[in-house]
Amino acid sequence: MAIEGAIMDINTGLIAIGAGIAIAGSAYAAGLAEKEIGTAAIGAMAEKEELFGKGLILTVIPETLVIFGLVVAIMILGLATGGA
Amino acid sequence: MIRAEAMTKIRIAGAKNVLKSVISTLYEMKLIHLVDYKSEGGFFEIGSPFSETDDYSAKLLKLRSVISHLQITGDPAIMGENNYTNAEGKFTELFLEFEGMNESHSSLKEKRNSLNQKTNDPLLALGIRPELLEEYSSLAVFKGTLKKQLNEEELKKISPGYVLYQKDFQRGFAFALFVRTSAKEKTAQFLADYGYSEQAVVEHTTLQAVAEQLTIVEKEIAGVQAKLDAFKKEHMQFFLDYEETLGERNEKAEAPLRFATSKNAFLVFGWVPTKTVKALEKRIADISGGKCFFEIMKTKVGAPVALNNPKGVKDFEFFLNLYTLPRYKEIDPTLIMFFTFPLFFGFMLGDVGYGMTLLLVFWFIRRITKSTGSKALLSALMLSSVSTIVFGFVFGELYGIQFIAHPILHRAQEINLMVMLSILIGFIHITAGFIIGFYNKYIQHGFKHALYEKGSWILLELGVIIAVVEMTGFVSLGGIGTPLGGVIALIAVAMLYKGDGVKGLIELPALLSNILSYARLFAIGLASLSLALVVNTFATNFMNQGGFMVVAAILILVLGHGINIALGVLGPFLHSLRLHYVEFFTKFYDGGGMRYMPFGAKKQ
Repeated sequence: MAIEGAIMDINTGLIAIGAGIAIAGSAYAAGLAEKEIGTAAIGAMAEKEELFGKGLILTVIPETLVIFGLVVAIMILGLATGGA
Repeated sequence: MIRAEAMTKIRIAGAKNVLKSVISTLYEMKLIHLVDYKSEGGFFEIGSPFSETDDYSAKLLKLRSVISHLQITGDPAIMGENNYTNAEGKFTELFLEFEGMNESHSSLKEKRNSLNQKTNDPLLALGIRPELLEEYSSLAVFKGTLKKQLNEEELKKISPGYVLYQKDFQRGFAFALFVRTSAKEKTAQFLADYGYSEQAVVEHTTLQAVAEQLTIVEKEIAGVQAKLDAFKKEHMQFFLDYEETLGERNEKAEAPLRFATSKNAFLVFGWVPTKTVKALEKRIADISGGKCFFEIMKTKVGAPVALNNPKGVKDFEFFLNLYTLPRYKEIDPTLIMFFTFPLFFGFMLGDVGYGMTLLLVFWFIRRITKSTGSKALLSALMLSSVSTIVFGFVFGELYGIQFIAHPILHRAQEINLMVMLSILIGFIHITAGFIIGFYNKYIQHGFKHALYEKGSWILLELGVIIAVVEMTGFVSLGGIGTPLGGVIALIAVAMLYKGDGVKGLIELPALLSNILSYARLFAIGLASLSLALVVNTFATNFMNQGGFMVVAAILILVLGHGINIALGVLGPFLHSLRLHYVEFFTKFYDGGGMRYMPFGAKKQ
């Protein structure tokens, strides 16, 4: 019984780690992309303040990556509750 | 409301002898958005400003320098004709007075600086009379600063007879050393190791005398400063009013630069809100005594944009000002944002406690702030806080505590439902965007364009839905759903290609990512809820230990929820804005409209 329980735990753990990687990876990628765009956007805004709206839009475009990561993570977590 | 204020282009032609009164009237009525005349080398030329402008600009230059120097701020008022006539002489006198005070102020400051430098003279710090430090026939004198203290034992070896004055000075030592002329060179070498730097005698004075002079100068400066302050207090309203009045007259005098003029006539082009055209026409006819010809033009090209929303909704124009104004013919999405922005904000934050706190905070800031832009933003945020409270009841959350046992929606547990709901909201929002886009294209380029460019997207969505609904087994359409949906989608893609070319095809995958992007509606709320739960659990643990820990628990609660609320404003605000700007606006919004700036209105 004890061994069986342990095996179950490892499976759940692996699923959790998988979900974590999905979020971490996508968040890191989005961060990298936003860093570059954000710097350029701030530079443009310093020259011309009206560019705030456009700058904001360009800066947040890569954020969608995290949302994808989140969706994938939720699907992976679904394995833990429904799949097994 | 849905469209910007209707504008009519007008042309006023008149004899030059009524030009001044026409300009005055237009300025007072603050209705016409002037279109600068561009000379095309024909009969008309760009007008030249009235001769008064030189005088006005020279005075304004002086006046503005006084205002900026004295740092005057306040609300100006326009002067009456009588006051204005007297103001010229008054200003000349005041300016002379100001110049005098300003000059003595700056010369005194210079004096203070040079005195301050003297207090840094190491030789004065030694307290020896300066004339004693000059050269002697039988003695060599070293004077100035050293980086470290002189070792007198060593000095004795090099130069047996000497007299030394040494004193701590700033980060080193001030010193004066008298040795026999014969030992001069050896001593110089010896001193080099101590970081010796020579200081010449500048002035025959003492530190005490310098300090006394400094007090006198400081007193004088304070006196002049007090005079300047009194001067500012007494005359600041005059300066402000005079600047405003002169500025207005200058703008009027320069107005002909924007007109077309010939030898005896002038032409003015401009945009006027359609509902005020009649009033303006009558006024112009009245003041010109029939010497003006008022003409209404048919074109709508290049019309300026004045957003036209009822009170309350108007606050949300802030978000369009931040982005870019719609074009004249485009739909003004302010009204839609009035509903969806607070909806998204509330859906993300959704907590009765946070909503009430924010409502109070925003209300308070709104009361003390003065700028109209910030006021509009804060009103929009207050509405968002109300929506947060409403969603707080839907989710049954109060500062992260589940205060309703069985709420309408349990967002921490019904995760799948929440994701679905978020994506459904996204789907509706984006489809609404396509429908508005369809209408925009329809009124600008006709039905065909609208159908190919925007209708295709709606058709594509329809096709995909039919296919997916059957594939997932949600509804059975007897097996024809999947192929039917596929065919519809293919037709839609072909239409899109015809309407938008390759650019449209590249955008195809973006539809999916745009709709999925609305999952953030749920995700951000969950993050904020988790943080609130962590704070509460933490505080409860401390609370249970009792005693002094209760204080710590309260501190954790206040700080934790404070930070969470701050994040809760930033996150939902930016993300709600982003969903509008990126996902929603890209479906229909071109922007780039020119703001309606009537002649005579204050620049904001």
